Amino acid sequence: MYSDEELKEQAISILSFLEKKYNYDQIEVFLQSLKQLQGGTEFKTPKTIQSSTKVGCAIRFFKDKNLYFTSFSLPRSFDDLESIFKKNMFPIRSKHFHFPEISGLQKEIKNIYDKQISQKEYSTILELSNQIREIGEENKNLILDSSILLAEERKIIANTTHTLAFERGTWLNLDFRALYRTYDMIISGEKHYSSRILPKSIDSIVDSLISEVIQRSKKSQKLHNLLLPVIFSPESFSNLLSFILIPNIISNSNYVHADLSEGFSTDFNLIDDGTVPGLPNSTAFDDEGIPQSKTIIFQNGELKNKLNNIEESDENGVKTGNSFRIKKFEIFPRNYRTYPRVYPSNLIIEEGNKKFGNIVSEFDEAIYINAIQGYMTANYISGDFAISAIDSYLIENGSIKSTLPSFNMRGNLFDILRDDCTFTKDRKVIRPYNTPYSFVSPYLITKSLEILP
Amino acid sequence: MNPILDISSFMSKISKQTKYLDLRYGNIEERIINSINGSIIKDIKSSYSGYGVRFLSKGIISFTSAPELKTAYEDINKLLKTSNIIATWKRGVSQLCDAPVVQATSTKTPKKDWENLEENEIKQIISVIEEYIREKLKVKVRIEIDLQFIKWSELFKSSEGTSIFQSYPYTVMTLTGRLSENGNQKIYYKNFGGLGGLELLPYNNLEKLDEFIQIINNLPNAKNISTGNYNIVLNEDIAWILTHEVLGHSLEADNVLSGHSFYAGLQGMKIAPSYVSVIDDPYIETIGYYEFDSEGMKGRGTLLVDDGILTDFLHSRETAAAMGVESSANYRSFSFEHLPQVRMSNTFIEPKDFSFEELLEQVKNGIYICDGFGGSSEPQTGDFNINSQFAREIKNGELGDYFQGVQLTGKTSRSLSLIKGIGDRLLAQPGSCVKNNQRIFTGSVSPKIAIFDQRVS
Repeated sequence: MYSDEELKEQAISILSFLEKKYNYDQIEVFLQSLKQLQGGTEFKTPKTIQSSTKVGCAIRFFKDKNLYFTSFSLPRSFDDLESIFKKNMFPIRSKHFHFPEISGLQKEIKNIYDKQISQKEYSTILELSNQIREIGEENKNLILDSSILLAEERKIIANTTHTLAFERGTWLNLDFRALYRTYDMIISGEKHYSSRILPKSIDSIVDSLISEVIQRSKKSQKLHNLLLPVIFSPESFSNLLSFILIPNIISNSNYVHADLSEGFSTDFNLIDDGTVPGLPNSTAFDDEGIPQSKTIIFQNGELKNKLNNIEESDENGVKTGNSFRIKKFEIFPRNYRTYPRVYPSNLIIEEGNKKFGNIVSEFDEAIYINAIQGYMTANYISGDFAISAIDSYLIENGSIKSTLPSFNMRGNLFDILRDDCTFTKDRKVIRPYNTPYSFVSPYLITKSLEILP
Repeated sequence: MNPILDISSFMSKISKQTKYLDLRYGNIEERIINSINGSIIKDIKSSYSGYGVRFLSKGIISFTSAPELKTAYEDINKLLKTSNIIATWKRGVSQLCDAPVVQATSTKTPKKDWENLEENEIKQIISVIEEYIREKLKVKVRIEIDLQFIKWSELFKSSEGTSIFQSYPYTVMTLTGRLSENGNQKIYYKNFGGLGGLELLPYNNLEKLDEFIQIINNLPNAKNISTGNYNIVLNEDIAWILTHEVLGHSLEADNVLSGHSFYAGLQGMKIAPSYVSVIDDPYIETIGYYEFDSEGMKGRGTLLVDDGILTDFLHSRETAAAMGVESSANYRSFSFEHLPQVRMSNTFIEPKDFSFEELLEQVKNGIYICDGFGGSSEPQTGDFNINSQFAREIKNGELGDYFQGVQLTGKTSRSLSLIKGIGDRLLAQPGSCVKNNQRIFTGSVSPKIAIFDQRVS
């Protein structure tokens, strides 16, 4: 509905209006335009096609050194704006800071924009659906469904430094579901894939989903030995990290953090990098206009830096560019209506030395855990967790054999990362469900778990 | 702006090209205030409006949402071409069951509105609650009070001639206590409020906070539970989570039709003991209340499980047409920005005649599990995993020591078959539900229930 130039003009005119009308110390205008097309298949029939357009504006301003926030959808008349700003508001508890001078427009971050996605043509969805359908048709016991989202986001930040940032990015979200039918049961499995550009092929993702559901149809065996080493898949390891470690690497002066000064194993290296081409959360700049960067969080097990935004960093200190306006439980999780907070972009865990297959082949007996439940209740201050393994396998004589029924276990992630963790050489790009950031994560191998009878 | 004039001409243009069309013009005003230890740290206001348009053409349902009708019109023309493509792939996949034409207005107004509150009044509410809790607390706790005020209104119009305006206010307060000691953190939270205004908050009825205070005071000494099978009593909140997450979602007809429910094909079968009935009722005035759903169907109570027999599913007009039944008026979306889905309103197990004391006596020795803290279930198998915020020992029919949060795991069919007692009163609290990335309010309504031989860890 707005061209790029019209959006920029909108941002500038709102900024000028507020500057003239109100005697605010500083003003920041954040504009977001989001267009999406969604479709896919369910039980081999087409899903309802949905398109949506969302355009909105969020304002932060300092008045008498107090910070305020409000947001509204566009278009709006200036009379409407006046009525919004007339209403009572409480200040945000924050130290005083300055909105940054933004240099230039979109930086050269490669692979965050895909012309084909931005056109949001149904033929793109149809093409992807057909690819999935064709793979599924090779096995008559399989039903493969998909939910496909094509999104284009344009964001603009303008502030009282009279500088402006503009970025146009695209986003592809694929949710696959496989149903595998055997004589006495139906096995289901799901995979999520997010990317800024269309992948050359989705065969490998679909193939891995198919092999997982077929694997799950194998004969189940009760777990007798409760003292076995455990291999966590990148998905399940990322889930644990999301709820236990991540809250502690984010600067947030309002919350208590765990004491991680003791450090972890020297094998544990973690960086946040919003500049990697093609990764789901790479952007030119964050939602305050700070350029994205690569931040070393753990180096050889030692905590080096926490992620921050302007509000949570020192005036002259390093800005990591991790301010995002995140609305959870939305497929495209960025939304102008939410207050900017510190979130990771792409978290990259350093690989280990051995491949997953080689590690499995070395075990006489071990457990491989593909999916877990219950990690949301983990304690991020102590590192304690109690979870259920809902998709797991017994490794015997160097290969994955039978499936295991659900079982519970508990442990402490900080102890594991400090004393007993091995990482594989192979890693996967994971965006855990309902998280706005992604991981590049290896498999984790540990013996430090208490498996409950 | 008066959107009605624009809507009429827009609808007459699109109606000519479609078999059916409905439009929702929504306006949502939201304010969220966060406080820590009595001091306000954030005040977030948002105000948004726009159009959601659904239409049926060549047997294909499509949906678009946009802030302006002009954009919606452009998108619809594009989507109509898409319908043509899909129609060649598979024809006539969707239809809607019949619906009466209705002209109606349904509005609720808060007894005590929050809109024009002075800063001091909000501060006063927070400080009254904070001081009452502090006075009775025996432990050092950080208290967070989060207030959410929403004014929701929506105009619904369909090409069949239905026109409905609905407007509802919502007020929710989440009270959280955080204890930090010896490098550990324990959290307990509770929701207050529902459909209405400030009158729903406990600042005029402070004894409602006593249970919260009692739990916080006992959390530091809460023990870890030994894993095992126990006879249990679930309090209302976690009993609702079990009913909602594990049973309710499996009874949503869109999930049934798409292979997301292990209850597909079991209609008419016995799935629970004869004294278990499950109802969905949007007319209970909780946060899950509505008079009309998002496709203009008048809400009605649905008896889902009748004396243990699975009798019905929750329906939209589309799923009802697919199954050859009537819609149960459960097609819902909080915002015009989303295509509605089949959702619950207030879904609960019908209360019976057990007092709390009788439930404890029934269990004799076991665990009283309280207040949910998330969970998940496997739709194909009915395997579930629900976490509680805390639990208490039941010893000789009396409540005993506190336990830290426990995890309840099991299979729905087995757990339902082992229900041994149902409480005699419903408790309604504000709840919410996320399905396919859409969050809506649903009433957390349930009696306490006793279940035997459940896996707790």
